[in-house]
Amino acid sequence: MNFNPGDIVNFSVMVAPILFLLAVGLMLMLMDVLKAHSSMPLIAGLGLIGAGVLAVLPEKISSMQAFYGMIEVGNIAPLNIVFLCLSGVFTIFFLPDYLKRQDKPIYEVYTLLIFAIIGMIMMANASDLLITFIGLETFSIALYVFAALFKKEETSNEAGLKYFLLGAFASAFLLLGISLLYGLTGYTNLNDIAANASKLTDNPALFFTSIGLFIIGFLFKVSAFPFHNWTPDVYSGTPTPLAGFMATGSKMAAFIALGTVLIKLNFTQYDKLVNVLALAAILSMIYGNVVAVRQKNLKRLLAYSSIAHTGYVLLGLCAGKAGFVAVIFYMFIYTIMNIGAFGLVGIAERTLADTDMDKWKGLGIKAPYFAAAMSLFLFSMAGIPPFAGFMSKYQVFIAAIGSGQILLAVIGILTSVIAAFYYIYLIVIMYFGKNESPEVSPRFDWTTGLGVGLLAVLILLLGIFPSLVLQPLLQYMSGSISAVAAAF
Amino acid sequence: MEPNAFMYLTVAAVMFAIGVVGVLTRRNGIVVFMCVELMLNAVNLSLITFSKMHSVAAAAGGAAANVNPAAGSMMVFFVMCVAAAEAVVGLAIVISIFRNKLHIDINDVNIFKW
Repeated sequence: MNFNPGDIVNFSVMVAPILFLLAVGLMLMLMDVLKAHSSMPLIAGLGLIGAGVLAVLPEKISSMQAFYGMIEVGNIAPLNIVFLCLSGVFTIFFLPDYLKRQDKPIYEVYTLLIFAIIGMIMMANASDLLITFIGLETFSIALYVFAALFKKEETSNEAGLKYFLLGAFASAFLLLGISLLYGLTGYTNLNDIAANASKLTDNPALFFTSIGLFIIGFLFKVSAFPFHNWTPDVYSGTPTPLAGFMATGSKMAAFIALGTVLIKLNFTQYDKLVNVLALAAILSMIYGNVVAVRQKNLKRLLAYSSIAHTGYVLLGLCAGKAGFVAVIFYMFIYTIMNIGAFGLVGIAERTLADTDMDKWKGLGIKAPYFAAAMSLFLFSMAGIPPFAGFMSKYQVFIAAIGSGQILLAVIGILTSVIAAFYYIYLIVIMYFGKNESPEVSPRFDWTTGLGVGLLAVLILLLGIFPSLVLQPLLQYMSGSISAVAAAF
Repeated sequence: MEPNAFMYLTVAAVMFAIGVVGVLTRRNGIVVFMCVELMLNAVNLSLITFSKMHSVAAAAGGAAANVNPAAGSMMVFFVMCVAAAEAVVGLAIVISIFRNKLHIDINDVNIFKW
């Protein structure tokens, strides 16, 4: 591994999407200072799309690392970049409108959003535990600011403080896990750790401690069952579209990073690890769905539903390498429908003065387009065909059954019946609830209208042609045998 | 007695444990945050110790030489940077709470329930 000055140029070209996003982020900072506020959302959105295009432009590389094995640029990495950038683009459709409605002209969010996505990309594509940690902290710090964005409101303060203290606490555990893995193997690079796997199995007690601490850190980030407590509080205090982003982009990145690390360590050969993940999956599915039934506040309902969705994704993760495509596919579909749902709640929040479910009574007649869009997202989240949510659930269940986790799949299917109850209950309220509120109803402006339209079309399209996403995923992950491939 | 790797790791473990107990029991926002910093620094100490252990093993040669001693020391610098960045955001959040409430008792930050 000799240093060659030309390498810097080569590596910079390889990570062009990240560098491009960095430039966009710095430019947005400058625009904020120069008071060019009105075009910031546009620049941020275009920058994210540009980064996505830059990622998929080069020839497909089987597996290749930039910066001496620090960051993966081949394999599935370009698609991760595209998905994470898209989660940012979807959020930007709803952000300007929401901030305008709340009378809080805060323009730093766009800069922070770009930096958060850079962190997510770094973490998802890391092939060194050092990069995993730095990426995780990069986006976490941006998300702490998002949670505490409205600094004069006590709800936002509380969300920020809770998220910050618990997040920092969890990342300390993650870091301890990384440190112990380093102590055991002498490497932080994942490929080197995988090559020295015998050092891990020589000392099983320390190995399970280290990887367990590592998993705890990530289970916190994805709000899986024993570490879920912060989720509803933080989401209800966070500005709504940003809560949607928190629930999707950051979880997608965390799942991809966790999956990459576990698969590199070949975790399916250790029954204990699979069992721990399976237990977290089962409890998340049951807890999230059962508690969501009792929620009256829409943001909290979506938060509990996001705990449940975490359970479904963990179920796919338990299937190991075969389930990894299903995990990414699920998270992408979940990103589409969840950002849509949070975005709509954000639009209604100011008009209806609250996120209380009862305020939504009769919206089906007062605001037909609004209610129709919300119903579509809810049907999709409930996993009803022909919407995309059904395909994503189907993929993870197939992956779980393919790897012999029949019990997990059965519990998953049973709990999604509970989930269907509270999603459809909201639709019932909108269409059959008695209209009590005065004649105000939420309206789209053109950005939110465009965003909702785009997300709705994507949900229908991917529900009918899931291979539009699955096919590239499988192609990029060439060489991996997958249960998903067999299903098509 | 010459200090050895075991002693350093014990100190790191004790520091980490003190940090965990502090986070779980203290009620002042800033003290809780200090305990988190203590945990991070405990990990730093352990990383440095592992790094030193590996470099001694690498110098001795043989099968144990298959390690990367620099990785651990390098990580420490990044962890310190990250901790500093976290401190900035954390203290900003604590200040915004203090402006609204005039105290930072985290037991009193409890608008959201169930």
